[in-house]
Parts: sequence; structure tokens; C-alpha cells
Amino acid sequence: MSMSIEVTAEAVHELIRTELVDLGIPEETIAPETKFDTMEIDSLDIADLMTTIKRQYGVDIRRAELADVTIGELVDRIVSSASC
Amino acid sequence: MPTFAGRRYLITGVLNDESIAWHVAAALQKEGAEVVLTSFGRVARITRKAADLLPVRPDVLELDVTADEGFVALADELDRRWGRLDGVLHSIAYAPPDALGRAFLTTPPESALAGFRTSAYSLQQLSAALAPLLTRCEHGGSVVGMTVDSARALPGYDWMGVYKTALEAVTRYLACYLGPSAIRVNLVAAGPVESVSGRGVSTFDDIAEYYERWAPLGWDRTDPSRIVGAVLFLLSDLARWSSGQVLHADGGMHALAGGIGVPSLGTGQHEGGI
Repeated sequence: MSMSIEVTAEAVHELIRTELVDLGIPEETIAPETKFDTMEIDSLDIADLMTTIKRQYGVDIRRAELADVTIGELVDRIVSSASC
Repeated sequence: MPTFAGRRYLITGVLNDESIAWHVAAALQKEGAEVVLTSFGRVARITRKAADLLPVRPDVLELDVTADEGFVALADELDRRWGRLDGVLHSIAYAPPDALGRAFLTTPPESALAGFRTSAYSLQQLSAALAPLLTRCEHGGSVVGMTVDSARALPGYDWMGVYKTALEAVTRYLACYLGPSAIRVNLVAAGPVESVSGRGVSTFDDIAEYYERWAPLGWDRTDPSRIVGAVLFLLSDLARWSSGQVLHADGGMHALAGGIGVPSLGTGQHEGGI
């Protein structure tokens, strides 16, 4: 976990974007207002993304917390938790 | 009291840090043991990330339990590394979607059988492949698998419940045939834990709510560490003379029928884990 690195919304968004592209999500559909519920990803993809976020920022996000949540809202949540 | 210092364990079934197996691996490392994980295919990418979150980053070896040759390669690799093995955690199960979620009456044979191979038969394959390494350990080798309370049908758990019942029978036969090699084989029957595999059961929330409401010691689906102590006990020398057992780590739920009257007003919020 790289807690010493400054956590910016841009960096978090970029990490999530890169991971989602890796998981096969079309890049043009990834935007701050995109909701996780509407994406073509399964439970393993979500587990993959959340493990990446925990490893990178030390922030624990549970599956239930992603219901009706947008990428932008998740980014804000990670930035505020990581900078505590 | 027994120690895990210097002991060596193979831990299967780590998906992410919600997995029971992840918490077992973390606890063993904290007690001074060395662990190696297994994973396969698409899941291995996640397992490697979850391995980074453990106290010491362990190696992740490839093991597809539906491919026979993988067991030989795994045993060879562990023999080369360690030459012996103190224990193994089997925390592997799979049921196709049409074998779960109240589809019991229409599950096709290939789905029912595919789940059996991964969820029950694989314990025989893993134990048999590793027996030569486990028998070299001077304190007796320990195989531990994961089940649930399978005494009653759980609506929605369906064929997985059948596989778990089979896994318990496999455990008894392994206890029978591996005992002479000083290898014990036991299961932990866990209460519901909110992990990727738990959420694969459509009725998971209802089952978890039942445990949280009625288990006499209380239950918390978000706390996988509540199961770790039972696994460590069976891996430890304290369980040297126990084999073919199912040890419940479920807040006591298996011992009584819930839903009668009102639950006793325990807090259910005791400190979790060990």
C-alpha cells in the first residue's frame, strides 16, 4: 500500500479506468457518471477492482456499497477515505 | 501450547481479502508459519493482488482442480521447495448458476456433475497428491476443508448443499485411508460469510439474517475471522488425534432450530475472531 503517494481524484479515476479497460469494458463508456450497476462486469471483476483499490489506497469498499453508485462517487469516496 | 513457527501450509481458495482462506493465511503468517497459495485462470489475477495484502507476500501457484496433471505438478513444486508439508486448507467449491438459486428440479446432469468434481471430489485429489509430503511431517499432517451445516436443506443453496454433504463423506473416507499415514482430515462448517462465493447464493441475505437473528452466540456475516480459530485448531497439534470431524464455527446455529418465539436478546456483537 502506497499511503505516502498523494491521492488525487485524477489518479484514482485513472486507476479505475485502466482496470476497467483491462477487464474488457469499452473505454468510451467509462465516465464519472457511469453507474457500476449498468456495466457489463460480474462479481469477479468487482472483486478484482476492489482488491486493486485496497492494495493501492488501503481503502476497503464492500460490494453492497456499489449499488447505485457512479464511478465519480466511488472516486470521491476513495479520495476522502485515503486522505483520513 | 502448540506453535505454528516454522510450519508450512498450502492454502487454496484465496480469492480476495474477504475470503475465509485469506484470513487463515494471514493468521498462520502472524504465528510464524510459511504459506503458499494456489489459484487458477482468471481468478489468479485477483489472488495475486490479495496476496500483496497479506503480512508476508506468499507465492501463488497454479492449480486447476479439474485438470488431473495439475496435482502432480503442485506436489512436485512443494516437494522441491519444502520437502514436506504440515497441512493444507481446501477452500474450493463451485456450482454452475443452474445448480443454485432454487433451480434444483431442473439442473441438467452436466451442471450437477461439474459442481461435484470441483466441490467434493477435488478434496480426494488434493489430499492424495499431497499425502507423501504430509506424511513426512513429524507431527502428523493435517487436511482441513470447508463446509456448511448440511444437516438440513438450505433453500437456494441447492446442489452446493449436496456437494457439501458429499464432501463430508469424502472426508470420512480420507480419514479412513490416510490415518495410517498419520494424516488427519477434518472440516470446518462455517456460518454465512459475505464473500464473492457467499453472494453467489441468491438467498444469501436471508440465510445470513437467520444466523444473525437466531445463532445463540450471535453472528456477523462481515467477519470471516470468526471461522479462523476453528481452522487453526484443526491445523494445530492440538487436533493431532481428531480425524473425520466436522467442527462448526457458526455461533452455535447448527445446534438449534431458529424461528421459534423471539430470539434471546444477546448483543451478537462479541469481539470477533481470535
